[in-house]
Amino acid sequence: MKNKGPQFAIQRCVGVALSLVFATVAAIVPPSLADDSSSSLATMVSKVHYETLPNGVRVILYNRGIAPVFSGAVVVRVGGSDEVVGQTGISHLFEHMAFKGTRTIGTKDFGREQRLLSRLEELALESNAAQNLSPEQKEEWDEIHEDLKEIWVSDDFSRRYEKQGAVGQNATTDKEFTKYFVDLPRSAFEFWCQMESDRLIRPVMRQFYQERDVVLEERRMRSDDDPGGRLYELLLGVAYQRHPYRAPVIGYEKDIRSLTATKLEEFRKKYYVPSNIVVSVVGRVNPEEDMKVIAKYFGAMPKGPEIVRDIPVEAEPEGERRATIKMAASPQVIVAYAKPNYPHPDDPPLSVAAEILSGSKISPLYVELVRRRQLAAGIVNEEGPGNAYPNLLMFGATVKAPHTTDQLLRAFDSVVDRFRRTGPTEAQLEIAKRAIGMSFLGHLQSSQALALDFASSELMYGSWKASVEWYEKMSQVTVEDVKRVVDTYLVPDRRTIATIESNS
Amino acid sequence: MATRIFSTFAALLFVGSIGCSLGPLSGERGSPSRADEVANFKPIQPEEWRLANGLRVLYLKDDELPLVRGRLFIRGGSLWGPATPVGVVSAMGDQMRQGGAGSRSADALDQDLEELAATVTSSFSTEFGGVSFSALSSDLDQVFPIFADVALRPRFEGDRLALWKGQSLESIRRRKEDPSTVASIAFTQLLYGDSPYGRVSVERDIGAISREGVVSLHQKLVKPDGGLLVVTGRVDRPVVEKLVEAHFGGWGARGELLPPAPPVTNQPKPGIYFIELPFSQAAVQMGQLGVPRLTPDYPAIDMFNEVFGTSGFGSRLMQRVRTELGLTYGVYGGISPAVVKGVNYVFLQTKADSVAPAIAESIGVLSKMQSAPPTAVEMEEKTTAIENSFVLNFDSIDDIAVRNARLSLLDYPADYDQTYLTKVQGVTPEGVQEVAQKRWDPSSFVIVVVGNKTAYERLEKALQDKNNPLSSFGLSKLRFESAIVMQ
Repeated sequence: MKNKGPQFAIQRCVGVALSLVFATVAAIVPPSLADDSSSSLATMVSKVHYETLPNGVRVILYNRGIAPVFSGAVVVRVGGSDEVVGQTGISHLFEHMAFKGTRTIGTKDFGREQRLLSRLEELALESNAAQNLSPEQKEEWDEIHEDLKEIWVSDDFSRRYEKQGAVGQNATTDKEFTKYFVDLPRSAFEFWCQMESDRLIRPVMRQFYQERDVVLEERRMRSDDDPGGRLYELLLGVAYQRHPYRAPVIGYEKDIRSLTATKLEEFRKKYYVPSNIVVSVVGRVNPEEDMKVIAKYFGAMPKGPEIVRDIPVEAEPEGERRATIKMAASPQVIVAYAKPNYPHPDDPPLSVAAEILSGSKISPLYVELVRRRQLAAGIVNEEGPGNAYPNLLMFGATVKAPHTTDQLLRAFDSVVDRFRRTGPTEAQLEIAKRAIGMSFLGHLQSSQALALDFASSELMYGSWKASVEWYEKMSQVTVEDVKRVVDTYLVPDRRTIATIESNS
Repeated sequence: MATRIFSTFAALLFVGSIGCSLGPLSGERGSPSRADEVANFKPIQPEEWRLANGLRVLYLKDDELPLVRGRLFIRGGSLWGPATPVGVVSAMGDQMRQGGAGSRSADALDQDLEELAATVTSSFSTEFGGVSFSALSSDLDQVFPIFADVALRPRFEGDRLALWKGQSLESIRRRKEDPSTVASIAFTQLLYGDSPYGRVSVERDIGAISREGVVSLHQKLVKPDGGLLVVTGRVDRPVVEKLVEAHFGGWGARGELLPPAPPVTNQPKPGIYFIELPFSQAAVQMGQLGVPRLTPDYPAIDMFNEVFGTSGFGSRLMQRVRTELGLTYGVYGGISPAVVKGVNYVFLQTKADSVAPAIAESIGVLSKMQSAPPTAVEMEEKTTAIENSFVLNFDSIDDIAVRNARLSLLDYPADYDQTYLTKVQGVTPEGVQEVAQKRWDPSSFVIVVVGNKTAYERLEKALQDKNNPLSSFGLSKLRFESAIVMQ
């Protein structure tokens, strides 16, 4: 049950790093192997190349792998937590638009296109983001689109990537980050730098109103029609009263409909600035020659204004909150405890506590709720929805018929209460720490995951090694630490419970 | 949340996931051009040997991390299992690991694996089954025997089987809460009918699964004949040879391969089948029965798929239905071969209002593939894409070993990888058009739509319009309960 449930889509970003190889091994295996690993660790760390370009873009390169290929990532420190009501979903919609091309990619005649797009935008601004086009405006709108269709080269940006051999070309947006990533053969390295820098510097908001419809479809799929998605949205809206974590990353439907190309352009100017971007490459790299190429393309990005984040602070919780959604779906439960985020010292012990409680087939919540009493079909835990601000430790369970959410919650409480009284055994603690270690080792094997984690650690904590530090702290967690954090945080007054009750 | 196509996160976090890397890097001598590095690359080949009982072993050393992985691939699955109860083969596959093994009770097995920080999994589907492990190198001596016990000596404890049955019933109850799941079950059943390819387990099947049935199935299906064991990681060959011989050398062979997979005899009835459920989006799955693997035109089929609908944003389906019209978040289509007859499919989801145009536009994209060959530009784009991305199949030692095993299990020719690019380069635009004409016939489509009342009304109205490409189809309603009920 270490896999996270589908209802929690965003994962913790403090993750993988090199020294975890050392730390894991030191904790688990005989000294000979630990020595082995610490020497391979030293080799690995020495291979990480870190550099800041004059304009402020940070670059991380790490050489590994057996084939001439690389995973490239460009990560921007912007996401749902930077959004305000009225414009929720803007980071995510911008991420979609970043695949629409640039002044030279995706168009047959940029000059003419630009004139048509400005007229389109005037119409949009006169008609409440093109939601209330008058019949005359609609006619002009359609005529402009007929002209634009002749100029647009659909999906030119993605198709150029595919031709170069790109695999897994994609992007994600979460509460803190927008991440663009792709795997490519080494021969396409300069091409990658060119494409990624071009879309950062000269993106064009073409086909915007079609893409807004695509995102509305995405929202229907992920939130409206998915019981787990609706439950998660409900939970965050109750657990957070002021902080932007309360809004879904994909945005509220009303907000998505009100977005315009103009608003996205303003958004880009504010957040897509060099100091807010990390470029990270893992695979076959050669720092000396590759840095020249990176500097040529990413160094061309003009400096931007400093980002000022004025984000409302969430008050400490003062009592249990509950929310229920009635719908034509089987019951589900999420119990979410408010907790501090890393680098607070209580963060690593809480991860260990969660692993002990529900992370494995021998964990008390699994054994009691799933196996022995069969009140739940499954149980998962996750920390989120982001890591830059105080967050939640969440336990999610699907209720097994004919049982009820109440029965499940009572049993959940009795397990957690017992755990609070007894604390973990030394054996439980060690097993949980090893499991987290193995999970990191598995993670480390993906070059793409490593590239993304270097970048997000750097952007969130100012150091690509931040995850190392987290891991080392996790390895040192004691039975007393776990007892302390369970006593402090896993209490009813700090939690929000959200449930789905079947209305049929 | 908030991914363009789909999040890779779940896959990345899976503890036992495939993919590791870093052999010793060759020392930097000079610096070849980036293009030369790719052009001159030759993937390493796994070492291979065979046990007396016929089990083949593939091995590659990988020193990067102090880990070892193993995967046992077994030929056999529900195509050779009993007709009823449906689901007994997947129960058997799951319970090999969950129900205890060798000298260990189910509880002891869970406890010991957690203490070793090791993972062992097992599963069986239609054609193949498998058991895998992942462990620290230092614990290999302890984990490997457990891995062999799970494969060869599962205990199938009754209370764990009961737990599995309860969880399966719960997932059956929840099927109707996801439009794509409903559509997929109906689509499969309408295409393959009442056969091992089309059956989907329902409540009474789960109830009828017994321990005796699972035990006898294990005795019948879990044999080394034609199977493969892949081992990679920080471990030397002599150690692997010894462990494999000690734990799998005595595994009795059946002595013959399984008979060929049963034929596909169902003749699907074309039409639009509507299942009414209150979702805001309609899920559409449409298509027809397809081809076996490795038909002589498989390189042309691969090129067809790339142009038509499997290459993401570069595909015609995505460009038309998503990018230009904004009708869907995702639309995918192509020819998916299988052992006897695969599926030619188009899948999409769209809001209730736009279900008719989304289907019509997708079929329109297919018709264009039939009426004219792809352009020279498209052919060049796709051929180059396949050539350039090929090297990405060989970035990790584990990927290489598993790829070799898979190609072998699917009975691909030994020179498949070596000849593939040449074959793709030989495909002509007319060859792709021929695939579209010969392999597809939209008038024989089964079209499953799961949607709300509005979606139904929109479809009904569209069918009355003689100019709509859907107008020749009949529209009928189906019920979906624990499984689809055909009328």
